[in-house]
Amino acid sequence: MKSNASVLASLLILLLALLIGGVMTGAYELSATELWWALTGRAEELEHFLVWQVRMPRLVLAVVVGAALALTGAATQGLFRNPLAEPTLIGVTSGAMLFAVLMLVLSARLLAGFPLWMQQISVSLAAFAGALLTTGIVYRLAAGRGRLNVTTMLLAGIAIAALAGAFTGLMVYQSTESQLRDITFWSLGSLGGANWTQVAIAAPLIVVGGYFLRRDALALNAFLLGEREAAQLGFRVDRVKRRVIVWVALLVGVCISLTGLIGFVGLVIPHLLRLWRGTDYRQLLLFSGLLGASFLLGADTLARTIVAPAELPIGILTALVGAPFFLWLLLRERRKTVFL
Amino acid sequence: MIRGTNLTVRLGGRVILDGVDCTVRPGRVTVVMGKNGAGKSTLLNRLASRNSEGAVAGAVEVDGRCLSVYDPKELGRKRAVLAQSVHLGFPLSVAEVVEIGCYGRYDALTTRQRRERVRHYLDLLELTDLRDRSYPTLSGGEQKRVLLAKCLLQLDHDGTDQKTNHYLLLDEPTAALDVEQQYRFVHLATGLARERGMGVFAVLHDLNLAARFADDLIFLKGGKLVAAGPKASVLTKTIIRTTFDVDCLIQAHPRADCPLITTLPYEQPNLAPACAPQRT
Repeated sequence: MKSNASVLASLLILLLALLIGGVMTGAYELSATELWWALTGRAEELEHFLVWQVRMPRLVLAVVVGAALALTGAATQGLFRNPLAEPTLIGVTSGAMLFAVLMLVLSARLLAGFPLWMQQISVSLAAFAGALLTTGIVYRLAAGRGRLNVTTMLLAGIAIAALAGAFTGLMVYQSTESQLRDITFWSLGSLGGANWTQVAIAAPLIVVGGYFLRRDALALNAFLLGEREAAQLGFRVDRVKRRVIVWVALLVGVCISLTGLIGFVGLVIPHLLRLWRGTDYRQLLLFSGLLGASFLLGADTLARTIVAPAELPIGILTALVGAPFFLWLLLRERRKTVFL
Repeated sequence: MIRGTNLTVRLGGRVILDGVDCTVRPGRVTVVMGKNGAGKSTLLNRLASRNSEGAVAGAVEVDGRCLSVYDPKELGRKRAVLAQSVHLGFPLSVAEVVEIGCYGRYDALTTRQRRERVRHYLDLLELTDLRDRSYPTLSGGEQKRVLLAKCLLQLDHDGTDQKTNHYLLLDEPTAALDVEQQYRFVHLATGLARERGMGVFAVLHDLNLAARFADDLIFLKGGKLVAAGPKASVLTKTIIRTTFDVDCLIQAHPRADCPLITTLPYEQPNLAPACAPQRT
């Protein structure tokens, strides 16, 4: 078995390679020389703009969002001790979806008098608010007498998701043709609108959140034995749960608000690493972050090249690549050994 | 010493534990016995955990301080609990599960020290060959040994705090083990009490294992205390009959310095009249 250091190195190399490949490919192909010129500031204005204002922010955003989605997926699976757990389960996604759709449908009427920048980021803000609000409700429902019941939380999450789904459906039913198109596009995710402001919002938060989630790696390992065991080992179980949920909600909320819904990264990446490197959360969180970043970066590069000059919503690609791959992994593992 | 006074637990409208007093003394093996559902595991969990399930009354003191005022980490270094069984959320290797035992002192140990301690306890419980196996693929008995190794590592102190008392609470430790492993397990636990001064508290079902290895016995029935005290004073026919509703013979063990107990069916003359129990 390879050492953790060499796995880390290969994941970093993969990420770097995809970054370079990502800058060079697209509707307008750049050669290595042109890239070098652009990076060192000797390129034509067009290339310089393309590299620094169009491709770079998009790539960095893909890295940051991919890392956050995979990282939070791994953490949620550990917290719920469930291989199917995703941030979706704590209500983040459904709330974000509902509020974003609400905003897409109502923004024309609601925000008529507001400044332009507010109208532009209104969907993001609404999605973020919705994500936190639903997670808050789910959390309140599951927390009682100072304890947090994970099973209740799971069920509450499903119920709230269904409720939010119904309201979303109602909104969709009310929407016009063009709004419907916006909603569909948003629900499939896209990194198309990436700019440095978005990166500046997301990157620090995700780095800090990743750091704090990583600090609970030992607790997440102990959680694998069950909450009671973790408590008897000396972990403050309820505080750990609260911390993990708050960070997951924040990170996923930010991601969704910037890029729309991007599925499968949080589910597939941690499983892939788990099958390859085991479950130990001390490595799993970091590796998930790195591989998730690479995965989303690769997927986004594909999304904007295969039908260039148009682009595919990235959610289609992540599901298209992720789902069959995941099934293949499951079948292979089932033949080999006990999966769960 | 762990001292529980008037321990009561109500769960779902049912009284699981009803005003039980008990003590676990350092250097001694205390065994709790009783029928299924007598409240044995509930008692163990009540002694071990800061917050247990259900409505709770009574107080638990560990070395003179109330359980609820302990810092969880400090308590985690002081007492370990061997659960009846543990199902992992995701597979971990044997070595990884054992290593979880030292998470309470994670930052105080270097990576090398951690590895060395894990190896030590894997050796002690003859798990070295299994160290890279996935925990869920092990047999029930092997899993028990892994969990015990984890518990011992949790209480491992490297001579830094010799003065602190340590407590090991075992919930049916012998349940999934073969006969030889049962003896080995109980022998190891008693060794920890005798040599390291650990306070051992165990739920057992085997009267003879208890008769042989326990110092103090606690008998529970329907959540209430039947009797508690040193082995010699409470291991009597009346108490066993009250607790388990079976008759028994208590003889001197021919080879060891302890009683030998043979249980006999009680009040079932119709089932096998030819060998009806002799009341002595």
